[in-house]
Amino acid sequence: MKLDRRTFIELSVGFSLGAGAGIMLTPVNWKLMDDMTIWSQELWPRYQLGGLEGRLPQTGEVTHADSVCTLCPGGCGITVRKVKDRVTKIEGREGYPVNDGGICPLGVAGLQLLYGPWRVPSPLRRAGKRGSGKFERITWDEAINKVVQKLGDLRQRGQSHTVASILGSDRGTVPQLFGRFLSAYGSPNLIRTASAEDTYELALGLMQGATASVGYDLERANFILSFGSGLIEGWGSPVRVIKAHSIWRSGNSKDRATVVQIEPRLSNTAAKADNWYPVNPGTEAALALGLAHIIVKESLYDSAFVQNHTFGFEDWSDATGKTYMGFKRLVLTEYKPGAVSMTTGISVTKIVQLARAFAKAKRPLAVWGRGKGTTSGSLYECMAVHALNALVGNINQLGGVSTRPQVATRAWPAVSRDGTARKGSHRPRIDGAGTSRYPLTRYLPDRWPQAINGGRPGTIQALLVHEADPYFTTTDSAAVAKAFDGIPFVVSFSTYLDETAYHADLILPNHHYLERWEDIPTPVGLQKPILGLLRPVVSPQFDTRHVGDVLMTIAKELGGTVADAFPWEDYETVLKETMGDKWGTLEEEGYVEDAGYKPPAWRKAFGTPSGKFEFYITAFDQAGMKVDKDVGYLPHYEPVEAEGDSSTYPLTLIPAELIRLADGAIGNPPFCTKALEETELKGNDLFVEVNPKTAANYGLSEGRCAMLETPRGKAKVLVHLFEGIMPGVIAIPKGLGHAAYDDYLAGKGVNANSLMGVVEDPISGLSATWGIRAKLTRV
Amino acid sequence: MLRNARQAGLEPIIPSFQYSIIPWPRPGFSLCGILHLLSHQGGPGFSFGGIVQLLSRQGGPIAKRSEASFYEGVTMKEAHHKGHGKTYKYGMVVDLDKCTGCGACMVACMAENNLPFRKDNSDRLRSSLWMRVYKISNGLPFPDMEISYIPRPCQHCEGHGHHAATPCVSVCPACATDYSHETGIVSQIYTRCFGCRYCMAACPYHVRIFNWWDPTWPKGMEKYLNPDVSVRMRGVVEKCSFCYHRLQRARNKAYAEGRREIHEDEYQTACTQACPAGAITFGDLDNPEHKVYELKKSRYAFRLLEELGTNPKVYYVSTRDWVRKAGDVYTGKKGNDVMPA
Ligand code: SF4
Ligand code: SF4
Ligand code: SF4
Repeated sequence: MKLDRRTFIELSVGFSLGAGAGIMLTPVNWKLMDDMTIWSQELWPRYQLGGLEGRLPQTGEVTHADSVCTLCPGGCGITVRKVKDRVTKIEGREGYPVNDGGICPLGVAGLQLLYGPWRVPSPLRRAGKRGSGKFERITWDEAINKVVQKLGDLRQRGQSHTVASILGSDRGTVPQLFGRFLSAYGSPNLIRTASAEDTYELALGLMQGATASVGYDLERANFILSFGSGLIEGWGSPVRVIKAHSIWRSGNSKDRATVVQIEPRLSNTAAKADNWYPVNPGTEAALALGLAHIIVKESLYDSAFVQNHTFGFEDWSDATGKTYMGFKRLVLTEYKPGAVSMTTGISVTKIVQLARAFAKAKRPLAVWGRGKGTTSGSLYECMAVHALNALVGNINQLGGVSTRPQVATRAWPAVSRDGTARKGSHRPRIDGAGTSRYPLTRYLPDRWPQAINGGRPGTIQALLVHEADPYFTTTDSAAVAKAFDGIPFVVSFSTYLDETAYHADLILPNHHYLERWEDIPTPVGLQKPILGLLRPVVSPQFDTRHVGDVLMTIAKELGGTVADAFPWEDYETVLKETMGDKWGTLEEEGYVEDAGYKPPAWRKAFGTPSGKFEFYITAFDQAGMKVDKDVGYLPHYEPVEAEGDSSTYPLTLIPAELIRLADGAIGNPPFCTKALEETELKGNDLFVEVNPKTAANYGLSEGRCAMLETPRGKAKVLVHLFEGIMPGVIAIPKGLGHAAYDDYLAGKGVNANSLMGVVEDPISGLSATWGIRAKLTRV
Repeated sequence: MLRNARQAGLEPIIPSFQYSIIPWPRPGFSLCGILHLLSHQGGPGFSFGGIVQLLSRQGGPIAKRSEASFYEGVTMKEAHHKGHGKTYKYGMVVDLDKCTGCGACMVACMAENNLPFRKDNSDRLRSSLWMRVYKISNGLPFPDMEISYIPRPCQHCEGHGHHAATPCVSVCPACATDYSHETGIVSQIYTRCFGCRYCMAACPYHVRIFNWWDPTWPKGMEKYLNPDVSVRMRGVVEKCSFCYHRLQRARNKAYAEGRREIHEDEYQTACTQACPAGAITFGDLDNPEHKVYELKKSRYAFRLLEELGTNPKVYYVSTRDWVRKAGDVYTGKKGNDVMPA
């Protein structure tokens, strides 16, 4: 038989088929396979999953408990799902007035913070050099003794004013306990970490004579003009704002709200906005005033409000007959569209259109606070934006901006201070707030490092840090590190091994927020006062104690009037007493809400010297401030120059805040880091966003390694070409660059704060930094 | 040991092994290694899969072990093929105008479904996300660039007709993934999967992920694991299940209360529940009383890669033309200018 190719194939196929069929048809294989499968699967008890040797959690009874999230100033209600005594999920609480069931990525990942290796397991004492990360466990008694000894000693030597405390908030019973402690002990140095609230509170004080926080009626506004606010990046109370965004996007196209984002970078907010105006960074105030120009010129403003309830709109003269320029003349002469267009890079047509659309909208609202609102910002810029709200008459109106008080709670008896306390409390603050130079500012959170570095040694002898991570979040990391070196005794009350705790001498860990009681004041930006109750949903997982109890124990051991200031037995008593008649509702519902709160009517709303909304700030003179120019009394554009000279540093670097990347006192949990885009983090390197045009100038291409350098520092980064960023401007994500925490976060990227410097606002002294000059070189 | 969704002793137990955990034992690994090899040769291994598939469709032993019907007196086979009095077609409508790209859905899914994390998760090919929020752009230069986010769970393709039309189901030699005509959910049975990854190649939406490693958690963190969802061993493929355990939970509850209907709000996925924007709506696409029923009919609704005929059950709504066009970009017929941002 001739074995040609064809026969061979036929034969082979036949053979294979035969063999195949044989194998297929005999039941032995299948029986064996089946047995093997069953056998291998039933070996379960003997073979465990790799990393989970004998640790797989048990099932059990499922329960749910309500509490509040504290991971950002958003104050969302949460429902915790528990299986037996384990927390297995954090969900948004249905019906909670802030977030009604919604939750943000960080809120969900709070679960990981509870059980993670980043928890401080017990009181720790530094065992190696600062920042070496070497700690040893000590008992609570030892830890408290150490603090008492140090503070007692300082007080005895008349150095009580050299004790400072940095907190993440100054509201609620725990921050109040810190305030009370310092006041009884004898120090003026309570510092609140930076946020846009610093400046907005000041602006409300100056323009409206109000001591209150800003409240935005976002849900009912129908034209939202955002000056760089990261509305859906985690600004204000993040879930609440995202929910408002969904309201703006609902309904038929006719009554859908319009959102306009003014920002040099195509952020999530800009991407979702109806119109994105990429403005030259730092010129937002000029644009606001340019819009005011059109609104005034075309008489589009709310004349009922402006004429009857404002001061300093028109030119005016005082008793001596001296005339002063009003806001109207200022904007009409100084902020003509042509000039504003030159400054901002937004075309004249667009300025005119935007101004008209804004002023003619039914319920326009201008919002301020860059990014997530984690920096203080420029006072005049804030005032310029707030002036737009006044022009359209939306102050204290539906869909407008209002002053919002806190839920009233029972006041504590006054502290009776001894001589040391009185003397110490009256010393000037180390950050300079409230001094003759900055009489109106309450805290200068970015200024204290400078005071230590530039001043005499021993300016701060002891630093107590609670719910803040100043080592990480303060602008200009190098200056902060240096300042920390100048503080002999740093105590952290942190639940997590954050950057500050890592550089502390002593850590007295507070319970995790799912393990403790606390009151949570009204979330940032909410228009109604709400008070939430944090309650333990799980028993403490480690050897931690409630910071309120620890602080009171320290006070009691210090003795004398310091001890007398704390007549309560424990923190729970403080909480219950302070909540007074609200306690019942709080315990039952988990929150109290002043749902019927209405901001005061115009005629009663303003506590300024003129009794009106002031375009012209009379409070400056009252406070004895030196304001050199006439325009200094009015909202105007005073450029906040980015640090660095443009010949060495031809580019401008701005931080990009992302909702999937926590950049405040909480380090990003692994789940959130996992959710970062591939164009934000790769391995341990972060990406700098560069416009392809800019990149071409420097020979940079996608994914390339580059050296990013600013006057404050430099870092190796990867290049991401992004058409959404203005040529000449570059951006890096904010929130990376931790050295502390854990392997899932530490060592990834660079801290944006380490590349930035502080540019002080001339009036408030707060950091008005929005960016810095930079250069990118190929490496 | 992790088991099925149930509150021990509180709810009746309806047996379903679909998501029960049986680990990846070492001997099993070699077995799968052999099958893997065989299937790659295109030899008997492949036919083996086919036959097993056949067996299971006949209500053979493996199928009986693996699924049980919610409905008494209805055999697996009947339920599977003909349906019965009441079937569901669960699906999703995602409003891209509302989606802010926040990623809460991704993280909620990770927490709900015991997704592990690693020190470096920045390589998407090696990191597991059942829900992934894609970022796409219209490809125009500054300042005309636009971005949209597309949250992408498993699309739970129905295909057209009964079998072999859901891309992954049609190629799985081990019958580890199947389309349920009872619920409209594409299942994934980890203990059947032997890691050949055909399904990954077949899925046009890249929803499937291979476990290259056994999952590990830093000591103490295993405490937060959800006992309703099994932890997956290395060597198997996993994907979004439409939070199937939540359906089981809802069924158990309904059963205990003597009901056969599951209300819309009784079964909602973790991502739907978490989304702060309310962008995700989940429900029975065939039930006029469920919100998704009307939403999917929007003139702005589209599905991803519709032209491939996968007949997915996740709908998207966007008023932006270029976004809708982007839904079909890979077929090359429209919207070629769309790019990843
Ligand atoms: S928005 Fe803030 S408060 Fe709300 S869940 Fe997220 S981190 Fe928590
Ligand atoms: S949670 Fe909602 S808004 Fe956020 S990315 Fe997912 S679908 Fe979009
Ligand atoms: S439906 Fe469930 S499994 Fe699927 S993406 Fe959403 S949360 Fe994840």
